[in-house]
Amino acid sequence: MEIFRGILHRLRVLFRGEQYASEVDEEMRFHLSLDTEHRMRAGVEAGQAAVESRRHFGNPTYIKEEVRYAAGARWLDAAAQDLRYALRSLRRAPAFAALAVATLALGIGSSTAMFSVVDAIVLRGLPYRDAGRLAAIYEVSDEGRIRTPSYPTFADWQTQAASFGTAVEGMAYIRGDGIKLDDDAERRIVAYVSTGFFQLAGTRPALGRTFAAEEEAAGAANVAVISWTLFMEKFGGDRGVIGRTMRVNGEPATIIGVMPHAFALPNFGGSGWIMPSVWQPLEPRRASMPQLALRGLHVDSRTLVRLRPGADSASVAAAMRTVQHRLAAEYPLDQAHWTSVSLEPVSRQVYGTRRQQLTMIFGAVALVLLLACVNISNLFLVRSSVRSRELAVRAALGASRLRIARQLFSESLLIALAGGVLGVLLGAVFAGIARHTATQLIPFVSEVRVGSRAIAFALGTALVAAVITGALPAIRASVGALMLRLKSGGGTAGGDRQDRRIRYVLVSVQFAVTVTLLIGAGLLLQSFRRVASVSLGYEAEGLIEFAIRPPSPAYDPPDAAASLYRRILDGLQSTPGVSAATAGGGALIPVPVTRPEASDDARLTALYHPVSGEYLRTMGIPLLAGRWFGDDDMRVASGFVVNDRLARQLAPGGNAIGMRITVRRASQARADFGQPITLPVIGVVGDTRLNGPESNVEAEVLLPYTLEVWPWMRFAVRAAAPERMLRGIEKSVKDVEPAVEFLGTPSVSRSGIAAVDQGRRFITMVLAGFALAALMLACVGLFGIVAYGVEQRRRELGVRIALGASSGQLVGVVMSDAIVALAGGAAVGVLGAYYSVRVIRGMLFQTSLADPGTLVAVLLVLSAVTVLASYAPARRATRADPMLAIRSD
Amino acid sequence: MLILHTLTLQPMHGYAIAKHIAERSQDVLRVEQGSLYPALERLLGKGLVTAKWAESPTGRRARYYTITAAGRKALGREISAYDAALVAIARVLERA
Repeated sequence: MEIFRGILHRLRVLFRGEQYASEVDEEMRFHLSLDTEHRMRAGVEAGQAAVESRRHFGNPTYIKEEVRYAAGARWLDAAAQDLRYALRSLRRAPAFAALAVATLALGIGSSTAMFSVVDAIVLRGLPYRDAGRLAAIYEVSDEGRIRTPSYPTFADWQTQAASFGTAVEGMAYIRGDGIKLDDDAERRIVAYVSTGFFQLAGTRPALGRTFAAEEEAAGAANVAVISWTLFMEKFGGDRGVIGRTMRVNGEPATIIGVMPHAFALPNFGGSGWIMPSVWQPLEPRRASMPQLALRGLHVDSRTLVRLRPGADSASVAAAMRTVQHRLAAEYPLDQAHWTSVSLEPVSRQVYGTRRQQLTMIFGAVALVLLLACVNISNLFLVRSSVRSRELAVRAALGASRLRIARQLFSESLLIALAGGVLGVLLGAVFAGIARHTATQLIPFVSEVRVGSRAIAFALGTALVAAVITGALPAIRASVGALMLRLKSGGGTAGGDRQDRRIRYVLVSVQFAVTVTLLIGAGLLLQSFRRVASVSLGYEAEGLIEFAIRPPSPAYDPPDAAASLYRRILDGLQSTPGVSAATAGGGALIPVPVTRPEASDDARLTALYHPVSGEYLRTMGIPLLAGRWFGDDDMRVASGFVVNDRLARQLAPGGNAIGMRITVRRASQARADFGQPITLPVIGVVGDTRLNGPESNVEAEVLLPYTLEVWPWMRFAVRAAAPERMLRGIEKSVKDVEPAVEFLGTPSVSRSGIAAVDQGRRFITMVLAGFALAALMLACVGLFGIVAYGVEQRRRELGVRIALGASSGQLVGVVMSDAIVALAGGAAVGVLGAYYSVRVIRGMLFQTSLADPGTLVAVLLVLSAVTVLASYAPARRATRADPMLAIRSD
Repeated sequence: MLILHTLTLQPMHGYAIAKHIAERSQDVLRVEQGSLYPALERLLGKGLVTAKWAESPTGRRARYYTITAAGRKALGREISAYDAALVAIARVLERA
């Protein structure tokens, strides 16, 4: 306890140095005067007494110094001196200091930004109790296809829980839907959760509470728990929201709790994030959701499972296999061949493939930072050999090796700290940029902030950078200083061969890092190029797309909705500037396709696609065989049209036209959901990638939209100047029926480069940016080293010229070092790249890791850079006057 | 050690400590009085004593030092060590 008193004292001495010094002074004067008085009382006369006291006491100045040293001031003095010296010498070389600080700031800034990203996602952790044991569970078919279980299946799993009792602790079924809250224009997602969902997740609400047992029973009052995002966006963070009522799709519900920001179960999206804004109990409203009773309904839901401690997905899957077999036997129509399950941990649901991409960016950032440090280290080495004479003088005056090294290290410390502070600011800027542009890439991107942890990280990195950049040069310089003391004259040429070798090794390291980054960037660029050139199968460029939902209840009957769609199409087609318009597709759900006449082992599925007659013409899809839907087909359907993919599956090598196939109605909102329709195939159209260039081609079965009237509908319009037409399109739709609701905003689709997904664009840009930065750093580094080397070897080169060397030979001598450094670095870099580039394997598109084009391009670029960077100083060397060179000191 | 022991009697200022040690040792231990102050500074830094400015009996300002509990403990340890050393030295000399 009293040790703290000691520390407090030391701090006081540290910060109140002058005041303390005067106190000590006063104390000593008191001592002396007392002693003098004492002697005077003993009879000594005044002046003599004073002198004796002083002599008896000792030298006050010396003693004051001793007191200061006892208080620990010695270290402080030395440190202050070192820092002042460092500041002075840096001020004398502002370009060097600025360059070093800027380089380091860039490196630290990007690392800090990346750290904030990682912090927001990973380090904050998932808010669920024992998140590692929470997983989403899917049914898996014998061929490995995946689907979410239907509600009846889930119910069966629960009643047969004894079969897997030891592996599974609990399960929950969540059904999602789009709803409107109060009178808000936008739709939000509601999650209807089965009993015990919040207990399963184990997360405490941020405000209020979650459902009580009686609220989860049938006939309970209408309650809701809302998400943090909804809490902030709609209610402005007002804590009085608990107990308030809001209308969910018109029905009033009492808000009883708010979940914390990081709570994001379940994720209804696939590769993106679609989180619920509202949670409500499923049980009370199960009666009003007849679709839930259907075994064939596998969409808009998620099933979660919590594993018992010690269980893993394999044991769960094994335990459930018996149940699945039983179900397959009891319900062959829906459950045949779906005999196993797969689990996806919740953490992977949230991060998914993004983790891979983020790791890659983090790696790239670390490499660039390393590069920056190596660069600066090289700069320091150069500088210290320039100052070798000054250091020699210091050594001669008595500075120890340690002292000199410490002084030089203070310089790198100063630069690192300056770079660190600047880096934190830059990091905040980069984090801001990421928040705005990387919304698809990073979950919880709004959380990405440079907080106290990130700042601590930045300063820590700065310190490490200081050590990396400063240690080697400081040690070498202090050695050099010592050696120079022993040499006379000599000047700058001493000990240089080793110095130069070290510098070129550092340049090699830079090249290696640069090569790795360049290869990574090159591969991503290749992938980008290949994605952009994928044919979508239809004319995507300049197509206006939008989706609408007709208002309830007027358009609930299918005939009313169909006639509305027709009137909208007519209205669109008569809008000036529109060359074609079509209705195309509801939710594009995969449905099983069977052949009633054949013994069906094929187990085909296809996307269920209701379209209008204008579809082919508007989209620009080719008709490959048979015929397309005519007006008669819109009135009475006489057949299906399939795409090439499905045609080949139905009749490999043969003709699918005329083949009769059966599909089941797929619109949950219609009473005839699940009813089979059997019709012949009347036409085959070309394949399309409706989900973008990176999606796979799926089998499709197209049918007239009048046959299956979807409760909402997508439209596509081709017009001359698409962006300007958007308003006109909206207006013409509203003219037909003002109460129509637009789902999302109408947009113009693009093909080629513009069609490439935002995430890929971001990643490619980022890595290319880093690779470019690395290249520039390496270039600058090489240029500096070669230029300096030429300066250093002036005498040697002068001698060579005097002995008759041609300019070509001179250039060769100078550049040979650079080329060796390049070769060494490139070789190591290519090897290193081969291993590290595996990280991005998942992001490559039709590009192999050893893509020869990329490799060749990278090596060419690097060689060009080397030649460029080293040629200029090499040329200057040839113009050196040999006499001057020899005579120079 | 001597300073700490002196302070166990009562809080004192620097001069008084020096005088006390000189008198008690009957002038045998006549160390330069100035070296007292660096020693006191070290004790302050380790938290073994505390210092406070107060009025001396003559009415002038002086800095008074007080021993702390930690100081007493340290004193105890030092005296034991000293005693042990004394015994060891005596043994060696007697054997010699």
